[in-house]
Amino acid sequence: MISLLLSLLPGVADRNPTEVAGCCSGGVPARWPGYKRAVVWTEDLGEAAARARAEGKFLLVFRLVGDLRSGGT
Amino acid sequence: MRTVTFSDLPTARRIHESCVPTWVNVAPGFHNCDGGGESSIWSTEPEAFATKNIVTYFATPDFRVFHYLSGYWHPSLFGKELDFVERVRREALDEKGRLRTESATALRRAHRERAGELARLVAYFEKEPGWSAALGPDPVHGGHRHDDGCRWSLVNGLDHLRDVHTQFAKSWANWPGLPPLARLLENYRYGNDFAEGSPMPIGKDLRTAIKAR
Repeated sequence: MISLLLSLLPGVADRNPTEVAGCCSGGVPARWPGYKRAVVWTEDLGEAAARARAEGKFLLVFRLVGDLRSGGT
Repeated sequence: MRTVTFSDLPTARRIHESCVPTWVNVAPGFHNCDGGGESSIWSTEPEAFATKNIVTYFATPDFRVFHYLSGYWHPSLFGKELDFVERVRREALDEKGRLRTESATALRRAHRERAGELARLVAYFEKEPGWSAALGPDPVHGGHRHDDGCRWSLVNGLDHLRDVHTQFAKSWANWPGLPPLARLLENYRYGNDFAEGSPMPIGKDLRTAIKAR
């Protein structure tokens, strides 16, 4: 019941993965086979900044829809 | 950018030469179950969708943003913005990888010149009847044929890029006035009416990470 009520609240429902047949298993979506195949991501922002400073590089910060760990695009 | 472009090996190599790639969530755990989206983009190779719900920022290690672009861009077009980033790295960094105090002039010039190039491209694609020739042949894997949809997306996207470069050239390239990443993340949350992102403010963890630097 609580989850049903939450799902009716604007802005809450769309933050939760929607289970679509053939997409998710346990909340984790089936991924495109090429997902995260080339760029190697540093997950921690602080660690990325420290590496960039040490290596004389910039930061590339990808603000995506969703979570890169769980199928965000 | 979308993940498809970041899955292109030549693009990834170039990114790693100049940048340490990292990412931020709109909402932890969120995904949209759009399983076919990435494979469709990969196979049809569209030129660009400059949707505002996905943003790629380029920043100094102290989280000062000197460039950004919204949406998806094909590797061939994203490569032009990587050219710009590499130019900034060549012209504006000191030997320890920091933006030099006197870099404002170089940054403004680079942004102004790129904005000028993009303005010419926008005019070309808007007005030139033979515009599709500038894109070269249709994508090599036969993904799509250039039509007015390509043209609309390109003009829309290139004009967005022109606007960003112009803003930096005029307003933000005055060292040390580059905008902080935290501010852009906050201000740029609602780029589209259809944005899937959460209306929540930046999470505590992200805010702490940025302020800690």
